[in-house]
Amino acid sequence: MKLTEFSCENELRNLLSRFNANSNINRASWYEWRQAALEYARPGVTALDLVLRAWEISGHDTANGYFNMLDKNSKTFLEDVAKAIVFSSTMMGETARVVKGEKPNEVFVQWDRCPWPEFARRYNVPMEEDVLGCDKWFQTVIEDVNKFFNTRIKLETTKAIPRGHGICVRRLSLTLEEK
Amino acid sequence: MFPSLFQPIQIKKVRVSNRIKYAATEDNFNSHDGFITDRDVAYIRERARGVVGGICTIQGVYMDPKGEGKGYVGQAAAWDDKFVPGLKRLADAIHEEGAVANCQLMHTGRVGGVELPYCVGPSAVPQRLLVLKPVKEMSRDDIKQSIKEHADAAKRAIEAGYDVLEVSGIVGYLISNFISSFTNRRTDEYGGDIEGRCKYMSEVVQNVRDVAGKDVPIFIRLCSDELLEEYGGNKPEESMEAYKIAEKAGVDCISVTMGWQESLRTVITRDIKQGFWLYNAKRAKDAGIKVPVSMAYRLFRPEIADKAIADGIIDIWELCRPLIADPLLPKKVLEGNLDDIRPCIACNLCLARLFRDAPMTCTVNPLVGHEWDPEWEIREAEEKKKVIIVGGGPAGLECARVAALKGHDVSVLEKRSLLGGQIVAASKGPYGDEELYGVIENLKVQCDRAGVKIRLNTEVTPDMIEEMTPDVVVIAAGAKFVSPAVPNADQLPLAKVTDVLEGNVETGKKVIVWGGKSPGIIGALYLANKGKKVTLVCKERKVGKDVNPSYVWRYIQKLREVGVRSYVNSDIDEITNAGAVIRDVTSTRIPITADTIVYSERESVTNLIGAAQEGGSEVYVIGDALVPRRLHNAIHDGYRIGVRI
Repeated sequence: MKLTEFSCENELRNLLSRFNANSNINRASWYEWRQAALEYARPGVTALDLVLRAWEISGHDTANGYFNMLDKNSKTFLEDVAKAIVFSSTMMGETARVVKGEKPNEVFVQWDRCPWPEFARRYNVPMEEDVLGCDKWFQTVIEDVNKFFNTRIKLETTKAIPRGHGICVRRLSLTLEEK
Repeated sequence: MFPSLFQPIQIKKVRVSNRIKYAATEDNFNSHDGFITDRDVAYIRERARGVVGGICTIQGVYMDPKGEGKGYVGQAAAWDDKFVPGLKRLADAIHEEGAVANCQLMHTGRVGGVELPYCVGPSAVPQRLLVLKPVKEMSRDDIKQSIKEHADAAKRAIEAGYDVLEVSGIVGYLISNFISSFTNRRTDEYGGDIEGRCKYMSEVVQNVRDVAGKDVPIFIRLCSDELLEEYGGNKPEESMEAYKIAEKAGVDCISVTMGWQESLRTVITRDIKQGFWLYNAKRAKDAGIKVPVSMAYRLFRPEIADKAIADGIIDIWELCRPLIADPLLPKKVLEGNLDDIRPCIACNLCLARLFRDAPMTCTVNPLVGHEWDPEWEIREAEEKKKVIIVGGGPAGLECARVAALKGHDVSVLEKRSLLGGQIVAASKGPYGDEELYGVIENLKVQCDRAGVKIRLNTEVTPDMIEEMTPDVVVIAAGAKFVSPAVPNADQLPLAKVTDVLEGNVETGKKVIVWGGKSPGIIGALYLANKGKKVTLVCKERKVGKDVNPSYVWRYIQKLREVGVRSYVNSDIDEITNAGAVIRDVTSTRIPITADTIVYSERESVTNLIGAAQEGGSEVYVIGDALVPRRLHNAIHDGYRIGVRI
């Protein structure tokens, strides 16, 4: 092939279509594993138990990835944590952004679009389970970040798409004094 | 005017005074436990009035207590005697309007189990459509029980006073599941060759006959072509064999239908020409079918139906969506008031609502489902008002029509030289979109008859509103198209999608259409059909986010067919002299070669609202002037505000 025949648009388009397909497969796999795990779960274990535990495991893994990305001495440490969350979300096909708060030690992460609830609906999973699962993941990430950096970041969910709010919003606040 | 349409026909003991039949239509108007509501009675009464002595069919009733055969949340039931009084209310309403009452028996098979985690069918063939439930294979006992339930429901329908019984075997419902080689893989007597696959249908018809008696007409709706070749469905010749078997089993009329829910082919949307499917009815006649043949399916126009009857292709003209749009269509045909007919635009909003468990609505007829509600009735206004409507698009015209019928003094001021707003450009789209303008033509006729004063070439200014001293100002000025606000936007020619569609602007050979809602889609299809290389860029997660799900798949199919490349979750980031760079949701930048950018994103036109409010008038904002949306939103806004003035 001559170099002149190379089309950036075609290459990027193919790459993106594979990325999008892979993201969809990841989400589908999540709910398919959930279904299989539920069928084999011991008596008394609920879907929510399984889901929270799975997101907790995932959260530890994600936090571990953040340790190398963050610097607690940075003036924008809290914003950097928020950006890391945005980065993770974007990689999973969500549309998220950091919104600065009115207070100095406060930032928000806002998700304008998220494909997870659509998959939850496809697999007949309650929407609230989706919210609680996400929360568990974020709380685990933040807890691990706090433990690692000896910080006091607090994360609260104020809006959630699966609850019909149209967007997801999570508030991150940092208490300055160290533990 | 249409002599063949208004000839009587005798079918068994029933004499029908014309060749018109309102086809069974699910509407989701009934209670979720299957009882008939006032809403459904009022809806059916209006259709019965419209068929002027013809046949009026009620929605297909489900017949089993578990709801395996129930395909729609508001579907009427007939699985117990307790449903007879409700069914009788519908039959009585039809008779009171002088029409023939037809009760359809409908087990929806692999489309069923709407409130269950499963549905049933002859074989457990996986579903193509995710919204449908997993199929459980019916045992022989299940089959016998289902046949009995058809007979029991038929008995209840007779008791409720119906003149005709109809068995539904269409679009992927249970009888068609048995007949089709795609969904019937059984090796017992209910499967195998076409004879075996038709055994269930034959036994249903024979058992219904046993309870109905020899004189009650039994109709059946059957697919003439499943359009499922790629999945191993029946060949059209096998469908004709099924017709012969149905006739032998004792049916008195066959309704010729096409396609399945799971077919990938479009059947009833605007891209299919009016009367296109008549060849299938002719095939039935050529195959030697002796009983009367009826047909709906893109057969909206009386002249085509009349000729088809005269030519011996069909015997009865069936109408479904056209009578949702205008229940009095046949009456208007009979009276020769053709320009009075409010045309169905085959947008499938009705179906989209049904499949999403919502009550049916209609784009062009806001009154659908509200026939029972006095609040929606157009009544003489107590206080006559001077009403100015700014904008002669669908919202403004519908509002003007309704307000004028209430007795108000209504003027529509339109800045262009013709009415229709964005529908003017939309109707220039390919694949039958010219039908869209029929709505505007009808609204113009209705406005003229109601005494609305229309002033074209009149751009309304705040001073003009002040001078006219109206009691009411309705802002229906629509939306304006906005170009992308990005660096170097002047590097390439930019064109408004409506200018392109109306032929006012020529584009280059490689075009980026910015915006993936309906104006962008229509623009992209129009340009691709003119041989342009088109790339569609939209911010939303999918193309056609504003288009109803029962129509959008057809748009996406057409975009693919004509080679339009679509980028979703993307926006134009920069324009260069060689094209544009778009940025997708992952922040990936992609260069696209282009010589023209066509923009199709919209913003409301709101500049007159303040001036109108300052003048002390009652002010309403409707249609795209409120929020840019779809045609049905515009027309429904117009009606609701028109009734309120």
